[in-house]
Amino acid sequence: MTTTDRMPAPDDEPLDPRLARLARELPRDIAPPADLWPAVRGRLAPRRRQWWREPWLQVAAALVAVAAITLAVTRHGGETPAPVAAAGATALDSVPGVEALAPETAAALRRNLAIIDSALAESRRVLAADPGNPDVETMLRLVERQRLELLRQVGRLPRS
Amino acid sequence: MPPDSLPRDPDAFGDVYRAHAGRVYALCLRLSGDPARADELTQDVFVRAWEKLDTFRGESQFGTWLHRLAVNVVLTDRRSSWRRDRHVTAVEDPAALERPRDLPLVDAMDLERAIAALPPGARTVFVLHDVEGYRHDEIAEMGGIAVGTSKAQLFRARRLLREMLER
Amino acid sequence: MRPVPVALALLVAVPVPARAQDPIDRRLPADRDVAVRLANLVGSTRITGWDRDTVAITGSLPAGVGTLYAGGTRAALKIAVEGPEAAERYAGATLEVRVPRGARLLVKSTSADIAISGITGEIDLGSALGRVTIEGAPRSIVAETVTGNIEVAGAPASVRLRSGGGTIIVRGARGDLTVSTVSGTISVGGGAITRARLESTAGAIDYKGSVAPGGSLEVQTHSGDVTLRLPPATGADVELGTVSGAVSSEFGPVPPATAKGRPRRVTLGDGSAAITVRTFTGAIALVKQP
Repeated sequence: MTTTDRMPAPDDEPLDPRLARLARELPRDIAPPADLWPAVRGRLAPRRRQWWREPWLQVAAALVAVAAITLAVTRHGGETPAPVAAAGATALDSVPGVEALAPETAAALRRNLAIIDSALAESRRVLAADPGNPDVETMLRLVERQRLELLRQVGRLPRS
Repeated sequence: MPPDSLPRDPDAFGDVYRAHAGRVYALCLRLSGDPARADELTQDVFVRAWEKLDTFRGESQFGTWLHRLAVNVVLTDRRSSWRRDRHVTAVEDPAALERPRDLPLVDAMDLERAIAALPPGARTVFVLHDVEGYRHDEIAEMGGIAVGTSKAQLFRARRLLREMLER
Repeated sequence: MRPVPVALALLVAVPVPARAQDPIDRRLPADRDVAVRLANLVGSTRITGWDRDTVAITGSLPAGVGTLYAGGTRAALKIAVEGPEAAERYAGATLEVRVPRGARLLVKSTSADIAISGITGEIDLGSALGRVTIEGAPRSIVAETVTGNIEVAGAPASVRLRSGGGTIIVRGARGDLTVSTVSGTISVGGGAITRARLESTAGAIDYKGSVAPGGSLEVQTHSGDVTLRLPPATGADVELGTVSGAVSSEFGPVPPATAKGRPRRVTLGDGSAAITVRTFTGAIALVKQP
């Protein structure tokens, strides 16, 4: 940590010594109220080339391959290409509790997941060609967030 | 932590998270003045750090590098009102003074509350300068503002805090 | 429940016996801010706030099928309908529930539609396929569905809505608003919001209203088109970013896409609010309200 320049300039409003001491002594380390690691972990894309070794990425890898061949969902959110929809099914099946959902609910979740994964593949593809593009990074985070929230939502749905 | 020992495996990054979460969270909490935002910002910081891990060349301590990155994430977050507030010169912000003033404010808890009550630009500079120990030129560079603006915001923050705490 | 069309009923050779219904009529004493947990997965649920310190449940269950449980303490009540939800012809229960206005509600449904009005307390509800309609000004609303549409009218201070494929409509918005869908369209209108975040992967987002000075409106979509309909005298600092979407504005020229990472900025009026729009392929349009 760099040292503080504590010599006040002539136009500085000096801080009351009592307040200055309090400010310096404020705790600089505060444990977050909840463990944020799972949420962070869910948003980390692999950094090394052999990503196929990561277990959960095997699903994502399948989706990227499929989406690269089958173009992304049309902009008007219509038909989801069958291979992408099928891949979405695989990812959802690994979430505990999915088998207890009403079939119509599970089918709707699969459709939504397929839409998200298609957008995710599209974002990753563009980011790979144009790394460090903040617009694309923001979009990637949006879709990753949506994916995480969808999988979490499964746990909150009533079981039949 | 030398650059070549940085984790390439997302799961191993968990150790980095655990070692630095408290520092990052404290910064996000104070800069944003909002516990709900602080959780989200803390997550954003670690995700960005993971994405930018290749840019850490060991020129400083890893914790220092991460801290600066955290400041950058918070300051460039569009949802913060820091960006609009930085154009304001040392003008009284009535909202900042609407806190209950019959409490004798002497302890750290009261200072924390008073800091959270500061207008965003003043709060940002106060936290970075008087709490975290950055210099004006560093704050100016991290926040994309002029050094003069940083000093003006600090002046404003200290004056408002003194007014809030002396009643 | 789907009513059988009259014409179809006449065509049935063997008359279908009318389903008997078991009426429901239960009353429970309750505190003003009673916490009510209600689970009616199939059928329909209507909850209305009133000024009595009582929770009253009326309605009906399909005869002989399903049971209603209602009990607890004045401070915390549970109402649950248990039935063969997986059964093909199970039409579910129709519940009409009156609760003290200040109640804090936790409501669950699979396909039952949920309608709530007159509540000033808190609402937290989760549905899969059922439609959700909320009127009034509760302190906070949290609602999520998988495909059920959500409609909120009123002025709650804090609103968090999420749906996968359902459409979300918010009228009279003000305060703090977060709306998220995967593919459902989002339509927000009416008030002057102080803080709103609207996001969707593939759904279109339409915002019609104003943003309070010092407020912020943040909109993000992947492929959904974004339309912001703002009053002509709007004061806002607008940042627009898109990877390949078209951008148009009736508020004057928008700077062209420049070097990577530089958002395109438009200043409206005194620039006192902050509006940010980001899309991947979705079009962005700023429209002047008449």
